[in-house]
Amino acid sequence: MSSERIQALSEKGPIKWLALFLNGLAAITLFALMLITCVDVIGRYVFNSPLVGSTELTEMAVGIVVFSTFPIISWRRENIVVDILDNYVSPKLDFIRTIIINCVSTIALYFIGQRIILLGKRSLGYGEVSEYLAIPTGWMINFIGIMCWVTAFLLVTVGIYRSLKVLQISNNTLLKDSI
Amino acid sequence: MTTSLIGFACLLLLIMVRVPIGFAMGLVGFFGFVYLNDMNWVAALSMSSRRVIDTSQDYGLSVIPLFILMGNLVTRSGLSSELYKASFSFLGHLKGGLSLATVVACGAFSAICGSSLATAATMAKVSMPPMRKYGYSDSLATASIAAGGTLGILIPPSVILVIYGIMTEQSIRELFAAGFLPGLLGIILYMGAVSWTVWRDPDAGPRGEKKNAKQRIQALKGVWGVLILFSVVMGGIYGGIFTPTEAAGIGAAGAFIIALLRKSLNFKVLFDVLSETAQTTASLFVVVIGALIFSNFINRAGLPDELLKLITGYDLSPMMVIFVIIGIYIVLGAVFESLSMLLLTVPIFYPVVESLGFDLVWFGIVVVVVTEISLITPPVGLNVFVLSGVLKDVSTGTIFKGVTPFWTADIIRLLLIVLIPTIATLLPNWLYH
Repeated sequence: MSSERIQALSEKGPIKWLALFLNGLAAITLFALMLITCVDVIGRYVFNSPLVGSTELTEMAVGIVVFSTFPIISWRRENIVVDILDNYVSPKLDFIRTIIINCVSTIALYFIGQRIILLGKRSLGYGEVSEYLAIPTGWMINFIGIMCWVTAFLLVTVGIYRSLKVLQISNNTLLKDSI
Repeated sequence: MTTSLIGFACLLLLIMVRVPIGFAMGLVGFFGFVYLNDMNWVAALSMSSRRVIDTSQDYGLSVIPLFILMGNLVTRSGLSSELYKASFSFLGHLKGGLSLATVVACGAFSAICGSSLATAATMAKVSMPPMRKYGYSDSLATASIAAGGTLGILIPPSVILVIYGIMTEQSIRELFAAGFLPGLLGIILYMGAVSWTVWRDPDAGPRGEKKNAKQRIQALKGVWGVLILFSVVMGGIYGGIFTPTEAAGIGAAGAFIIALLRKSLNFKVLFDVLSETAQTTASLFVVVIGALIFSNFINRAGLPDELLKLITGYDLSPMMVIFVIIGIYIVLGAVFESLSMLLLTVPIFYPVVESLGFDLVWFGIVVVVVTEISLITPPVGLNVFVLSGVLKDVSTGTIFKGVTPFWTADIIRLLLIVLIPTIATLLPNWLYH
């Protein structure tokens, strides 16, 4: 059963758009990250004027790339796992296991997200800004915190819906095989 | 000691029931930290949050998405087949020549791609059909790809070396310089393994046709892009012209231009490459963040110190300790995924290794070579799995059978690097000290 097929079955309507939006955000940021480093280097060596604040922009870009795709890889179960026992786990047990793991992850991400947003608020309250471009550091912190919450929410909704689909598909194939 | 051992036991349990490795390390690290700090939840939450915030905006780690992007763009641009053609034109007429060419092409591809799995998967597509055509045995053909592919994480740029450098606070430049000669040594020893296989069974790898000088020059013309890209990126890093991040950015842009010139990009492909890169990056960062939270707990629990006391108590010689560590890696590598094995163990071992007076750059290379071995060691050799995924009609058993001489070559290389550290330290010392 290919991951494309699961994706086509479990990601419809708003979820498909959400995945496209998050992937798009990451893709644009990554491309921008590539351009920023090039402009900086060319500016420094050829025109003797490096891009101001390129380090800050790089750091922010990495944060955006990582946390905009974090929800997607989480609900699609594309995080790095040890899967040597997968062949010994029945589809039903795998489904129950996914529900438990997703719920635990959601609780953990909820609390850590809450703390990160608190730190973000505090940083904004102190008026902390980045060194060259004076971008409030709290913005990125809040973005990371909110994306933790988004991931937490999607894990118990889309994540579980997806594994339900996987269970249905494997049941159907089992039926077909037995006929 | 007990606390950290219980922590480890919980971690292994969670990982075995398929909790994502990053989450598992983060959770155990968090609860362990709570326990060690007299049940202070707020302190542990703040520590973890700071790790998440700082790591995901770390300038040093920004090389990872850029190098992965460079590798993915080069993979899509089809340069791998040109690399294979070029090395075929020089080596194809020898006994086992196509496998020799595969190993060399893998090595060359590793010079622009920092991932072993990607190298194996890409080279399988271009080198398997000709080897089949010339009647190579499946086990030799696939084993040379699986083993050659492992070079991806050693020959710079290498994602694993970057992560090792961040965790142990070593210079990425020096690590990249140190990986170069052991990588070349790997190519030479793998070629030896091919020759040995063909010597034992000449039918496994017949000769290909010989090319004349003109054809060879023609074939070399196809690989100028790779040569320029590698020279600019690594030359720039070695020469101190740009930081690794800038080099990676330039490399990615160069790969983008090469892909454009070769007309292998349209908007859809570009979008796919970018989002695939972003997703790979995110999954790596999750593990790195988890590992950092876990290592906070391990250090707070004082495991590295206690290990050191244990070692001095038993009066083990430093070299013995290194061999024990290598032994542990080979056992763990048989079951674990390579990156997570590294992230789990490096925080514990590196303070010990450092206080025994070893060079951490050298140790990084040793660890990566052991990790390479784990990629082709049964039962869980990821490179072998990737290959049997790409080549649906070859079983993992066949590949593992052919891999044995390559595995032996790897062990020889590991011993050489351990016993003659100069192989790894020569280049960084010469360049930077």
